[in-house]
This record gives sequence, C-alpha cells and structure tokens, in this order.
Amino acid sequence: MLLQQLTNGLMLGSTYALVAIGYSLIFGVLRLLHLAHGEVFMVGAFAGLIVVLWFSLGPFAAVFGGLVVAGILGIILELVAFRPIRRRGDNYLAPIVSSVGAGLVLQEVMTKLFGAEQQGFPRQFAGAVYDLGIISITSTQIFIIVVAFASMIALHLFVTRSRLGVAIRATSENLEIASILGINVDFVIMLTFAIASALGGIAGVLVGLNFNAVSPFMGIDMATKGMAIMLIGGLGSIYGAMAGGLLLGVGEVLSVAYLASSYRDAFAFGLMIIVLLLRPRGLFATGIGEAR
Amino acid sequence: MSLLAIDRVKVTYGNVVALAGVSLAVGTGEIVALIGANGAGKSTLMKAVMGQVRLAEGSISFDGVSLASRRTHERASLGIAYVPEGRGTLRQLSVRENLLMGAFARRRDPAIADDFARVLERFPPLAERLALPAGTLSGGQQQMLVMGRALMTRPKLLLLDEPSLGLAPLIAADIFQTISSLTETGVSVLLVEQNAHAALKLAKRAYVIEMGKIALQGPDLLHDPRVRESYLGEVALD
Ligand SMILES: Nc1ncnc2c1ncn2[C@@H]1O[C@H](COP(=O)(O)OP(=O)(O)O)[C@@H](O)[C@H]1O
Ligand SMILES: [Mg+2]
Repeated sequence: MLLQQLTNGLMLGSTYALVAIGYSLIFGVLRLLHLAHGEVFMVGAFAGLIVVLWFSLGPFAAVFGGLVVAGILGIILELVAFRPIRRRGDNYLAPIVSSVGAGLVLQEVMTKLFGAEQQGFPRQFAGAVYDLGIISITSTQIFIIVVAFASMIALHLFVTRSRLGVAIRATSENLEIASILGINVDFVIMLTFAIASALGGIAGVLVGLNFNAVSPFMGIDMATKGMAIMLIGGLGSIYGAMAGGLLLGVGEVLSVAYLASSYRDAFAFGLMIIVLLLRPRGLFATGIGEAR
Repeated sequence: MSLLAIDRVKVTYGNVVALAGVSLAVGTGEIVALIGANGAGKSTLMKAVMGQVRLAEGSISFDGVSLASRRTHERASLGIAYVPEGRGTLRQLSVRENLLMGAFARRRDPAIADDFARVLERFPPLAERLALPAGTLSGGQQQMLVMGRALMTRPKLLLLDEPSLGLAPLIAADIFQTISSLTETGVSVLLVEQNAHAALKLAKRAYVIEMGKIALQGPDLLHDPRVRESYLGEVALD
C-alpha cells in the first residue's frame, strides 16, 4: 500500500518538478516570476492532445509536440512580454503585469479554440495495467515516470556538460560577469525560456495523460504549485525544484491516502510554510535574491 | 596606433560627473597603470571600456574599431578581458567551469585545451581544485582564478581593476609578478591600482586620475615629486 502511494507520488511529483524547474530556470536568469508559465504548460498539454486527436499519433509524438509548441511559445513570450520591458530598465511591476496579461490571453484564446470543457485522450491511452503484486501500475504511468525523469537527467547533463548549459548557470549567477566573458546574455535568456517552456510543455502532456484531462484552466493550479515548489527548493535552484517537486508529489499522495483528500491543495502550502520556517532560503539555497 | 584609445570620455551617474573628459591610450604589448584616490573614476573608466556605462561624450576605439555600437559581450569577443574590482568569480561554478567560461567566445577552438593547461601551470593551486566551487577558494586563489579565466579568452587587452585589493602582501607580489610576465605573451594591460608603488614599478607609462580628470601622465611617475607626495606617501625632499 505504502509502496503504491510512493509510486503514485513520484509520478505526480516528477511532473510538478518539471514545471517548477521552469520557474527556477527563469527566475535564475531574470530574477522574475514568469506568471504565464502555467499557461505554457496548458498550451503544451493541448499541443499533445492535438497531435493525438488530429494526427492519430502515439504518446511519444504527443510529448514531442508539447515540447516543441511550448518551447516556441516560451520564446515568443520572452520576446513579447519580457524583453521590451527589460530594455527600459529596472521595473519589477511591469513584467509581472505583462506576463499575467499574456497568461490570460492564452487562456482565452484556448477557450475560444477548444472550449472551456475538459477533454481527454482516447481510451487506449489509459494503457495496460501491470499487477506486480506489491504495486500495480499502468503502462501510461510507467511512460510518465520515464519521460519525466529522462527530461530531468537530460537537463542535468545539459547544464553541467555543455558550453551553453554552463553559460545558463553563469548568467543565472551573475549577468554582468557572464557578459564580460563574452556570453550574449539576451540569447541565453531566450534559450532559458525555450528550455523552461519545453519542460513545462512536456509536463503538460504528462499531466494530461495522467488525469486524462486537458482544459484551458489546468495551468492555474499548476502555476501556484510550481511557484510554491520553487520556494521550497530554493530560489533559482534547478535541483531544489526537482527535490521539491518530488517531495510535494509524494506528500500530496500520502496526505490524500492517510488524511483527507480535501487537504490535498493545502498540503503544498503547508509544506512550503514549514520548509521556509526551518530553512528560509529553501532546501537548496543558491544565494540568488540576496546580492547581485 | 594604439590598441586602446579613449578620447575625451565623459560619464555621469545622475548629477555626479564620474569622468569629465578623460583621454588615455594603451599600446600593443604595453602595461599602463592608472592610479588615483578612491572615487576618482578608475573603475568607471574600465566600465566605459566594457560598455557597462553609457558615454555622455567622447569615444573609445579598440584595435582601430569604434566600440560605440558594441555590446559588452561583443567587446569581450573583440579581445578585451576584464577583471572587475572585487574579482567576479562565479562562485557556484566549479574552478574548471569558470576557466572554460573564459573561453566561451572562442567556441570550439582546439587551442582552448592548451591554454587551459598553460593556465594551470601558471597557477598550480587551481589545478588541485578544479572540481571545487569557486566560492570555496581563498582570496588569493580567486584572484588567480579570475586572472586565469581572463587569459583563457586569449585577450589582446587585459583590464585589471585593483587586483591586489584585500590580498596579503606576498600573494599580491605574486599577482604583480604574473602581470609583468604576461607582456611576454604580447598582451597589453591597463592596470588600476591603489597600490601605486607596485603599479608604477610594473608599468612603462602611467596616468594619474583626480576627480574624473587626468591630472598627470608620463613614463616615469615613480620619481615625480607630486606623485611621491600624494600617492606614495612620501614627502618630496629635493
Ligand atoms: N553606480 C553608481 N552610481 C552613482 N555614483 C557612482 C556609481 N559608481 C560610481 N559612482 C561615483 O562615481 C565616482 C567614481 O567612482 P569609481 O569609478 O568607482 O571610482 P574609483 O574606482 O576610482 O574608486 C565616485 O564619485 C562614485 O561615488
Ligand atoms: Mg574602483
């Protein structure tokens, strides 16, 4: 029973982590919350659904579609909602307003195009059930876990092994020093949006598959959770977002199993408050947000 | 022709005039010192060369190219390496990653590996700490790291802003020794220092900046009575 809950929790948590990593990456390079990131996640989910419904392709193609569409959307949002404001100098409020606005526009556009109702994947996407004795798991659940963890491993390899990945970390630590070293920080910021958004899009498809539900408003809850996880993990910390996401996923499933399902959403914020009381800078403090 | 030519540059921060028409030149292979009191405008001049502050007037050219429209990372790519005041290590990146980021603009230049080896030879303490986060290094090691990182860019010009600040005298002497050996590789250096004595000994030419203006310049300022009195803490006897 416990093992079953842990498996479910890890699956849920790995999708939370993918979303939270996006907030962390973007907060790292811009010191700003990307308040339309939940909608990028939602658009990614729709992209995956469309790939399946319109083109009759499988789950891998759905993930790929979500990744590409969300990644491109992320770049557009950076160019439209963040960059013009950044050019005009320090203003913390303007990007908040412009990204909230972009998120609302995306919700409305998707509602106009696809309706406000939840939509699901075809029945065969539920997958076969494997009963392993101690736990039972569907092939879709295995797919979700594998894709989510593979994405995180790929990100880890990218930011530690590749020249551009290390440049993202350099920019995230100190934008001025990065530019002194010859790094085009505007390009790095755009790349960061693309990666963060692509991960969000993957998460959107995975969550859509998991709950068999895609709707224009699915990004709202995810956004608040993603931001709570970033705070739990430590501002701007990629690994903090991973750990925080898994922790929240497992915690949430356990709280539903052993407490009451009505506490489910309160759990995220309860956890956030407890972690921040014990470790004000989060699990993986980066020093970001203190001095720059 | 000078490698770096700064021509009547004026920079303001709001109402504060930090540079009031500064002209300065650095030739190829030359070490030039810039000394002056705190707040005289030394760091601002370096930021102006890197494009981190806007010029209200004047112009800067490098290697015959006007820098006016070049952004900071483009100036770095042209061959200017800058070690800012307070060093500027990337503390969360490892020593290795810091050094490799120095070569960022060189993309996949195969000579990067040679330069990496040479930097480690020059600064052995770094070789033992390649995997450690740069934030764990001592002050002297961090200064070695930023100098090494600057060398990884294969610069034509090195801008050093108070490299000896906060270092123990022996370690500072080490850093000055390194700077003087750099010119053998053909690199030019513009050296800003509070330690006027060491800087003037190292440099072939020097400028003295006072309140945003060049007050003195010349090849032998170490023996200039005005410099001795104001910057070397000595009373001119003759
Ligand atoms: N960011 C800034 N904002 C306002 N004034 C500044 C800023 N940076 C430097 N200044 C002022 O400009 C002048 C020159 O400073 P700086 O170039 O740092 O001098 P130095 O490096 O010679 O000590 C000083 O009067 C300083 O107070
Ligand atoms: Mg200074």
